[in-house]
Order: sequence, then structure tokens, then C-alpha cells
Amino acid sequence: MNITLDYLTGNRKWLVRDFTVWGDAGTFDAAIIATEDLGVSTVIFLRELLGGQAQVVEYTDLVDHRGNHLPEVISNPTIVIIPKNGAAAYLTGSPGNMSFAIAKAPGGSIEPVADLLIMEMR
Amino acid sequence: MQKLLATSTAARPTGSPPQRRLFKVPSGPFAGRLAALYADSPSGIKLVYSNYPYNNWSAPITVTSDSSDTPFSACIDSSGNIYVVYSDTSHDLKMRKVSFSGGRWSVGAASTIIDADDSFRPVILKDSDGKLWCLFDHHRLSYDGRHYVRAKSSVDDGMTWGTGPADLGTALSAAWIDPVYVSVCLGIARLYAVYCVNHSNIMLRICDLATSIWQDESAICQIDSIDDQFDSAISGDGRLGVVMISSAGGVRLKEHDGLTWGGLVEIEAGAARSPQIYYAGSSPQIIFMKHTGNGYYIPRFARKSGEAFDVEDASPAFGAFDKVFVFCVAGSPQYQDKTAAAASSATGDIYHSDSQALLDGAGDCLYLGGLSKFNRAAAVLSTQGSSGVVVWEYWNGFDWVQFVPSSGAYHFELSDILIQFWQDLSVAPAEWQVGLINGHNAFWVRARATTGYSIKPVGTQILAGSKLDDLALVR
Repeated sequence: MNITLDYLTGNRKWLVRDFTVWGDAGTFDAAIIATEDLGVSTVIFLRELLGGQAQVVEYTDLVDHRGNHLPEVISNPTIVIIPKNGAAAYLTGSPGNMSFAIAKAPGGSIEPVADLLIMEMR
Repeated sequence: MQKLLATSTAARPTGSPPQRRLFKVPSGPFAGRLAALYADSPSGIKLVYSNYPYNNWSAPITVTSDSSDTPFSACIDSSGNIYVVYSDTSHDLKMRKVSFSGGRWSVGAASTIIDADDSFRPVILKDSDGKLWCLFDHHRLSYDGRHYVRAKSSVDDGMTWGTGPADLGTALSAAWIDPVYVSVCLGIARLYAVYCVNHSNIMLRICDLATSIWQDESAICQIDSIDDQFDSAISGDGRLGVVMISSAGGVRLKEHDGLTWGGLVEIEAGAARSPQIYYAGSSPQIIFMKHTGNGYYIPRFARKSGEAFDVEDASPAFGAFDKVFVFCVAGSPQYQDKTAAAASSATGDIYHSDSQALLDGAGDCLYLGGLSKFNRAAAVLSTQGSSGVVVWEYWNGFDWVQFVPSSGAYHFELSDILIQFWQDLSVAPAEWQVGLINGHNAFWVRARATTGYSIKPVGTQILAGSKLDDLALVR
């Protein structure tokens, strides 16, 4: 085990300030496989975000409070949403290693603005 | 998105609607990874996987090569291990654990669930105590020749089922002449077996997981000819939903709130197939294939909005084109809008009024436009063309670019064809751009006649249809 490397790469954290949430809570991320008979049977993968405006955020598109871009991949991430304008937001599903989906809570009249604390849990 | 994963020679590569084939790794460093299982041949089952955003898939991993050519099923546990259940070539029921470690799946040895008589169409589930449950159609050839829904369980991770392969397990249903079909889902401390017997009777049995005692059978509903065209799911607050489609058509939902059954709600009328249900919180999300006429289907999505359901196309890549024009060089006007006629299945209504044809002389065009990219067109003609030649083209922002459809050249000489412009959307040209045709911006594909027709084609229906079947929604 490389203790120094583990120390440097483990338990990383990023604070992303003033993140605006516009995703619709009704969004449904539908991944499907299906068969299509075109003379030969084919196995098709389909993926659509249904029922609303999805807000899927890739880590690499975010900038932390120091002005640095987040890495493309975060292993086993956890995200804490810190509301800043009284409007609530939540993650739709578990955060992935490269992205997460976020939505505003139903019934809110304004778009939530929040700080995001993103932590890599090793 | 749309991605071709494989070709298959199996009868039903992605199984039967109550079964499970697509899984998301729920936790750990590979959370979000998808694993898809399919039958690649009459005896083979394969696993492929992909990380977000799911554009690139792994090489197939062989799960087994001793399966019978009947639908199989699987489940995933919290650690990403996958349990595959299938009927082998002797129609004994087998299970293989596909263990997940360090981002890789490895296939274990097969264990026999039951080897008495024949067993088909299993489903499997792991409960919160780690106990595995397998439910299946047991065809008792040696006894009464009837079909039973049976349940067996394993407390040692699938090594032993009941007291062994000869143990018949628990009969959940009565004896039936025709095949039975079962789905299973896990509620709060309860297991729900929803099954169809005698083609049309949807039934329920509930198992209390603390005692492993099954409650008596109860009827959910009776609708003509459901067979395996149903699915069930449990909401986060314990609501049980069963979606079903009869051979006469109509997508219907019945929900149980924990105390009583609600009414049978029709979500959409008309012929359909392959229903799937999933709960987002307490809201049912339903996907199915709707028949659009002439043997073509499009995926549809329904979700509850108040007391009613909103139903919409599930993918912009399928369905009616947003704009269809016929262009006649000698016409006045040259462009005519045939969007509605192309979407409908009315016979012989897609033609230019001056040429009385879809295409006539050299230079005539058929324009197909979508607000999103598409990769196909299902064309049904009332009159097939003869001796004409067309080139297919897309707009790259500057010019029209010729291409040959991946399904092969097509000159409107066949009366019914699914033209695949590109194998899937992932290989549609990146340079394909939105263009302005007759005042409408869209992604355009056009068929341009370079040689005129001696017999001029007339269209009945042209849309981005599919022959998709046996949907398996991610779990």
C-alpha cells in the first residue's frame, strides 16, 4: 500500500459555489434494452430522459471555489447540497462517477441556488 | 441515445416483459455502471457493460452456453453481483452467480434450482436478508401435464435451493393447462408474486419475509389474452403497480395502495406490447411499444399527472417525422407538406398533387425532417415504384452529402421496408446539421430521384417506426 499516494488522492473534496438548479423533479432516466427483428434479431440499447427537463451535470463541467475544474472521474462520490436562497433541491438517483442528476423540489416558485460539497469517499 | 449492442439468433434475446435483463450497479466505485444480459444464440447468454454515458460497451462475457431457447432473467444485489436464472437444454432450472469485484464480473458454476419435470421463464430476486427467491413456470409432465407457478428459495447464495433439485418448492398457483407467467417484486418486508394464468387472469400472492409464509392467492383482474404482456413494481411507499396489455389492445394499470386495489385505469388505447413499469417515488412511470400501423411500433412513456396520465413519445428518434415534404420539379407549388399523411396509416395519401406520385421525374425529392437526429424510416407504399433511381442525402450545413443506407440501397421498389440510414444514432454523421427547407428548420434526409419512374411510387405511411419488442427497463 502506498500510504502517501492514498493520502494525497483519498477523501478529496470540492466546494462548488452558487450552483443554479433548473432540473425538473419529474425527470425519469430510462435506460432500456430491447430486441428488434430486422430479418436478423438485434439487441438495442436505448436511453432517454423522460418527463421533464433533466439536469445532468458532469463533474468536469464544474469549477470549485478556488477556480479549478473538477476531475472527470470521482470515485464513489457523495454530494451535499447547501441551499442558499431558501429553495430546495435534491439529487435524482445516486451520483455516478462522472456525473450526477439534480432537480429542484416540487412546488418551488424560484430556481434553487446552492453550494455543492462534493466528496470522494474511498 | 440509441446503440446497437449485438445481433442474436435466439428466439427472444431480451426476454419477456416480467423478466429483468438490464441493471445499474447501485453503489461503490462503479456506481452507475450498466450491465445488460441477452441471449446471443439459442443456448448462449452474454453480459456486456458500460459506464456513463454508455456510448462504449464492453466485449461480451459468456455467462452460459447451456441455456434452452427460452427467456431467462436475473437480479443484481447491492454489491453488484448478478444472479442469472435460466432453463437449460434439459429444461432444468439453473442459476449462475456472476460475481462483481474490482470492476469485473466473473461467472461462477451453475447450481440446479429444480430438475423435476420442465421449468421455464424464471424470475429471481434477493431480499434484504440476502435470501434468494426464484419463481417460475413448472410444467409437471410426469404428474398431470399442467403448469404451476412455483417458488423456491436459497439461504446460501444460490448453492442449495430448498432441500435440493428434487424439491418442488411451493406451488403458488393452481394447475393450468397452458403456460403461466410470473413477475416478482420486493416491498417492505414482503415479496409480491404477480402472475398470469389461463392467459387472462392476473393473480397475486404475498409472502411475509419474516415468516416465509405465503398468503392466499387473490385475483387482481381478468382481461383477455395477457399472457406475458404485463409487469409489476413497488413504489417507495409500498404501492404495488401492475401494468398490462391485452392482445385486443389497451395499456392498463392497476394499483394497490397497501390496503385496497384501485380501479383498472386505461393509460392508452390501441394495440401495444411490451409494458414496463417503474416507480419514481410514488409516481408510476410506464414505457411500452405502441402500434402505429403496418406492423411498426414506437416507444411511448406515461406518467401520472394528478389523477390522469400524460402520455408522450419516449424518444425523439422514433415516431412521426416533424416535417415531411414532397418536392416535384414540375409542380406548382413545388413543395407540398405531407407531414400528417406520412404519420397516418391511411392508404395511398402521400403524393404530390401535380405528379400524383411520391417521386416522378429526375430531381423530385422526398424530404424527411426531424427536430432531433434520426436513423431510420419505415416506408409503406400503396404503389411500388419501378425503374426509378434515388440517391439518399443529408444536409451538412453547406451541401447535401450522399450516403447509402446501412440497410442497403432503396429506390421505392418495395412496398414495405424499414430503411436504416445508419446502424444506430451513435454512428449518424456528426456533421449532419439543421437546415432550412421550405421555411422549416430540421435535421433533413432526402431521397432525390436521379432517374425517373415508369411506375410512380405512392406512399401510405412514412415514419421513424421500429419493430422493437421485449423492452427491459433498467433496475
